[in-house]
Amino acid sequence: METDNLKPLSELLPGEKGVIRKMRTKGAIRRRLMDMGFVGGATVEFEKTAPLGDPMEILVKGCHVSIRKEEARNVLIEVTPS
Amino acid sequence: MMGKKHYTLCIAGNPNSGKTTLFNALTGAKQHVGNWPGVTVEKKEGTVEFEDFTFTLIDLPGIYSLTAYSLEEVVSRDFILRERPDLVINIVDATNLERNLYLTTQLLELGVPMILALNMMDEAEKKGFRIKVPQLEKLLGIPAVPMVASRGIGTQDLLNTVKKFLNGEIQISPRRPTYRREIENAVKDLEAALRTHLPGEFQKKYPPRWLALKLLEQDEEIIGKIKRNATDSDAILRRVDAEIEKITSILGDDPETLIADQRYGFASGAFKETVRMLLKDRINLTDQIDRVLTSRILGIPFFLLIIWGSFQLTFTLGNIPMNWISDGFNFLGTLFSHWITIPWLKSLVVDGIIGGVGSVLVFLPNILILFLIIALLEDTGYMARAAFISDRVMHFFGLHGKSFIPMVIGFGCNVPAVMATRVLENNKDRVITILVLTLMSCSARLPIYVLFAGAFFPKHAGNVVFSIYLLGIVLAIVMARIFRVVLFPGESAPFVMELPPYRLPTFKGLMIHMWDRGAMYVQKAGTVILAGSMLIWFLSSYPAHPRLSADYARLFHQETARHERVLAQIAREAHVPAGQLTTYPPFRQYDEAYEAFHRRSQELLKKQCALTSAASVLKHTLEGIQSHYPNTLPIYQAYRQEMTRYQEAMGRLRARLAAEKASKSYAGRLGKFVAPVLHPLGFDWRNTIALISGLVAKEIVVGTMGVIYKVGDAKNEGEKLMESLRKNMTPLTAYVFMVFSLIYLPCIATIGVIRRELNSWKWTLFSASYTTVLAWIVSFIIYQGGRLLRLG
Ligand SMILES: Nc1nc2c(ncn2[C@@H]2O[C@H](COP(=O)(O)OP(=O)(O)OP(=O)(O)O)[C@@H](O)[C@H]2O)c(=O)[nH]1
Ligand SMILES: [Mg+2]
Repeated sequence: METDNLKPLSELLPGEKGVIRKMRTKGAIRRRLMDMGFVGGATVEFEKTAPLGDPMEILVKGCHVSIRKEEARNVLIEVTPS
Repeated sequence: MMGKKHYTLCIAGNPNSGKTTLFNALTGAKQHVGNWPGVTVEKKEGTVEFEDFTFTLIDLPGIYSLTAYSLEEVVSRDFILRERPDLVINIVDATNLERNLYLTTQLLELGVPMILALNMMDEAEKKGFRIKVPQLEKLLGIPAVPMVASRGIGTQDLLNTVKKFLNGEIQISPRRPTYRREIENAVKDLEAALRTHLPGEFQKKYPPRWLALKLLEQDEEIIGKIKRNATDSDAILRRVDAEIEKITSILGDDPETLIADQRYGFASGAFKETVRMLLKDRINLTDQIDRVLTSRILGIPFFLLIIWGSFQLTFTLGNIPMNWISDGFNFLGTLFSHWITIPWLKSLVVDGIIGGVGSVLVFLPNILILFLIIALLEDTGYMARAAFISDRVMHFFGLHGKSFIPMVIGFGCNVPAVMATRVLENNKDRVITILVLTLMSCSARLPIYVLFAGAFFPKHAGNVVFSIYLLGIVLAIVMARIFRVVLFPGESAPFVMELPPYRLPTFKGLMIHMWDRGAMYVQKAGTVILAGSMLIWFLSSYPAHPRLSADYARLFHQETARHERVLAQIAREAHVPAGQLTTYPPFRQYDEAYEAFHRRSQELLKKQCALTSAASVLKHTLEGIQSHYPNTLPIYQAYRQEMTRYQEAMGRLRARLAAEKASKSYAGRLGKFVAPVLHPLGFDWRNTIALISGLVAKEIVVGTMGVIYKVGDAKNEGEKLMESLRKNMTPLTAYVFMVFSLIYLPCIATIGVIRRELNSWKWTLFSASYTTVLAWIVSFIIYQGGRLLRLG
């Protein structure tokens, strides 16, 4: 799987959608992300960032989830063209 | 008649799926809250009477998964596996079925009998979901009951289904996902190995297939269990590593990810085959609200407004009943001090017991209101937004978004603030928040600052007090960052948090929530606070009869005798019997004249007028009295002078006695003993005693200062205290004293709740000692630095 056209979740534009293709984290953080629905193949949508610029709000598997940019950086997305 | 049949049921589900609402709907008032043994995770237990059954119902903590990510998850899976409840009720949020079924999938894999409670059906319908329940039951292999827990709809169906299962009328055989062939093969091999190497007892609780999967997922807690229980565990674990490597090389991903993917596959499959969306993209209330409450522009103002409002309600509204309670206890104290005549018993009952119980109960109104507000914020869903908004700032401090609210509450009182840290799920975040929270200067410390800033920096009092608050905040930030690195090294917990939809909470839920926590505070924290207060009472009032430097009884007697001699002399000069001076007509008239003059001049002063008119009235009245009773004015003046002199002398003596008793009590001796340690900070033994007394509650420091500086019961006590403080301390030591008061050991009540909330003496002692050491270091730096700069 080539990673060229993949984009970190943290760099999506508001309203942009995509599919999770790769996770670059390990251990507890990885586990937590998986529990909240961040798994390969899941569709995500970037809703907005918090007023101070971090964390961001993501729609994943029908849930609104807040995630810090430093964690979102390790979730790689294939952007769905709209 | 046969006795009732008794069974244990438990409710498991995602956070916010309605577990507690269902629990409350089923149990009503028959419930109690405690903790799971050894951990701070809350355990709710209740009983349900249904037909000829009695059920014990357990509300498990809200979890997303059965990994060992959090304490809650470990507690939940251990409960299900070890205690083997007769039935697990898995409650799921029907509006969010796909994600909720992920946990369901993992619960199915435990192989225990289970029923699905499809909650929030009202919202699901509104959103346009149509769920084919029979199809879902078939796919999962368990019965499913639709319900609206908040309105009690479907709860009877649920109990009926439970009954049918327990009576053997229906069978439950949970289905579970099957994994890719490579994984299934590895699981089979490991399962066989575990069967031969684990004791039978252990296998009865933990099914080997499940253990094998957990080993492939590298679940640390299970690895630990295997090490402790399996014979030849090293070989098993080596085999696990080999299998993981093999699977990773063949399938290109580690088993942990593959297993999670397939669990989601199972859940999504069940979801897609059973749920239809009728209407799509209808206006969503939650999104509408969030467009305001978490928006870029209005998000922060609203957040600050809500925090400010919560703070105001907790302390402004809470202080009204708080005053009633403390007045009530004062009244009780007076009552008992009249009834009891034995001095030591009186002191024990009035100061020790009534005072101690009072000090526990005065916080109750604040705590009840605070928990009502927190329940409201949590149940409506705003708490998650508050964390979302403040996380940026708190993360910078090494804390979590949810730490913000407890920290703010800390400025009011540390006791409810410590209890408010319950909103933090992660134990590390909780410990750090509690540790630094005591640096938020609570309102009980304010009187100390007011006294010292007023006495030493009258022109800059505001700025000086502000600098102390600021110092507390800066120290909290610094300490939080240090603790994060030193106490909990390694990766910090990720901030991945659900933003649940906004919901209207139920009144019953809010009340139960508030009451439970309030009762827990009184029961558990109360005992520690009470014991602590009584200890401090004992230390400061015993020994009751220390060896005194003077015979006070004789001194009192001498002064009174002198006074009586002078009065007798005056009586002779006035030609009245000695006892009748107070009722002697001219004296009474003089008294009235002077009183009238006094009143009048006060009024004039208020209007900023000259006193000449009042003075001439006085002169006139005095002349009038003298014309009736000639030569009485000088005698009257001598009489007045003597009365004042006597009162002042007695006051001085009493203050001296109190001061000497205080310094010779155990607390005083402790103060003198500890004083050398505080000497490098510029404190003498008097400061030390005051600081020790502040352990009960920091507002006591000021009162103790009054006692040891022998201010006595003069009217302008505050002024006099400031004066003697100025004589004994420099502005530098005064400032250092404020700094020390800010930082050192939180009060007994706070220590009590910390012990209760962290369930650990280790952390409690750590909190008490680190603050004191920090107070010493910071004070030392300021004092010695100040001296170098010649500020002292
Ligand atoms: N509309 C609707 N709201 C519900 C229903 N059941 C619960 N709620 C609301 O959903 C919110 C969360 O319910 P809780 O019972 O506190 O959820 P919980 O699973 O105990 O949550 P945690 O203790 O945080 O894990 C509350 O505001 C409830 O009033 C329901 O069937 N329909
Ligand atoms: Mg709950």
